[in-house]
Amino acid sequence: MPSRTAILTICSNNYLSQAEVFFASARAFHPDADLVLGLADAKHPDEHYPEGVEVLTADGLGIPDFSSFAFAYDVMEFNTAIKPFLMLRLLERGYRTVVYFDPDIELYRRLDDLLALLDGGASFVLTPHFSDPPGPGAARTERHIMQTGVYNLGFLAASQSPETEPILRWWARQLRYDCVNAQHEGLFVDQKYMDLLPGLAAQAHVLRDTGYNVAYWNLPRRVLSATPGGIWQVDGRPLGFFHFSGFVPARPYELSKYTPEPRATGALAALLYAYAQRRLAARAGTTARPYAYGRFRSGVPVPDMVRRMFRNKHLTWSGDPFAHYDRYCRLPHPAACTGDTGEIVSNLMQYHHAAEPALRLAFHLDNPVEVTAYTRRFAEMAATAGVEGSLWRTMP
Amino acid sequence: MADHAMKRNDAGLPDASQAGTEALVLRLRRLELDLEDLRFENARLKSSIGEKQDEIMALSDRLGHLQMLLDTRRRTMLWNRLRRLSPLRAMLRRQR
Repeated sequence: MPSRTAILTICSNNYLSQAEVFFASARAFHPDADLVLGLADAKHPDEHYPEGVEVLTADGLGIPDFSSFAFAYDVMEFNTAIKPFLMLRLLERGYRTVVYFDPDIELYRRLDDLLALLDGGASFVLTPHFSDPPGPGAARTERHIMQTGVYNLGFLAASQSPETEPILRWWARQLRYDCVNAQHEGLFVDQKYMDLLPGLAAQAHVLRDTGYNVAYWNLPRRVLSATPGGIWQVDGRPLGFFHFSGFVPARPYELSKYTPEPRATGALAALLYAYAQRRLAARAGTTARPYAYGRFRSGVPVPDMVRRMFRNKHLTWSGDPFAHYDRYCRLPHPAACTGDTGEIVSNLMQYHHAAEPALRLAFHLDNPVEVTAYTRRFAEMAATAGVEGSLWRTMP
Repeated sequence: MADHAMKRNDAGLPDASQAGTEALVLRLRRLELDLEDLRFENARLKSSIGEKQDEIMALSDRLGHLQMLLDTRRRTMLWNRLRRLSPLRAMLRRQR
């Protein structure tokens, strides 16, 4: 009989060491819960996945038109986009509560207070980035957070309730096409949508306990300490979980690559050092696996520019874009003329031109001389960005 | 009768029937959510089709414009050939 609670994380194969450390802490404090890894990748036959953890691959989560979905997003967008689909599938299986954590989180105690909130009627529990205003010189300011999301979606808990599934479905519908980093349009992958959650969900609970989701963006306003018995505390209460966002084990004196200064001291330094040791030990000596959705079937890497063109121009694609979209990229674009030495503007070149106001101003694609100049400029950019010629040159 | 052997709930209905009803209610709710998903998807696809149609129209206009230019060039080339032939016509007219 399955447990009432599922504790889950999502990552690609290259983040399994983080997931390993996370699951070890989850198992230590919640041996009663089922542990689930949403793999935003394909299962590699030579890979050893964390013991005692059920692995559900993204292509098995019932996401419609999966190949287009995986093609449209880069690896970070993809990892965040599958979240509601995974949570829905677990709730449909009958779990009473599902609790999502980012893989770079570690638990430091049982979270019975969280589970009690969910058992007591909360449909969702989420944590804000800030429970106090940031001070001067903060790594993340009010404006940062207002652009990227009030709540940190490195943690989200949901329970069976009449409003849970409709809201997760709503979220899934948004992330099917718009799980993108476009802060100028008010979008930041999955996270910014959840600013709406307290308004949409009558039973959503915002958990302001400063022992939850401690990270570089709020730590300056929280006091981390250790008791003589070695129990980590925040503001005098037991630490729930710490979010090691941007942490690099090879540099344990830095809280995060996003805030390299000042160097960690005291209790923080000890916490970071201990976590770094666990991270370095997890999967030491294992081989890095390539991302399953990082290349065309031809083996050519899929550049982010191509993904952006795909999702902006094609809501869907007949067949597998990994198999055929490279051909579309290099087809001549009908609205551009030929360059004065025979250069042809391909679809990918035209998309890049249309997307950059400076290029539109500098090069008019109905002028053969400017088409030649633009082709040269594009070739330089492509070489720098690692965009292979087979994706934009129309001549062999 | 089989019903006498079954446990009954407070309403006097057999428990199995109540469980079945709950399952049906859940299934109906999920189908309603599926329908909402499909409506959303349909609206999105229609919007995308509309955009593609606009693009096709714009490209067709451009194609038409290019074809007109090409026709003009062909006519001009043909006229130049006709003009080269006209001294011959003049000779033929004089001979008549």
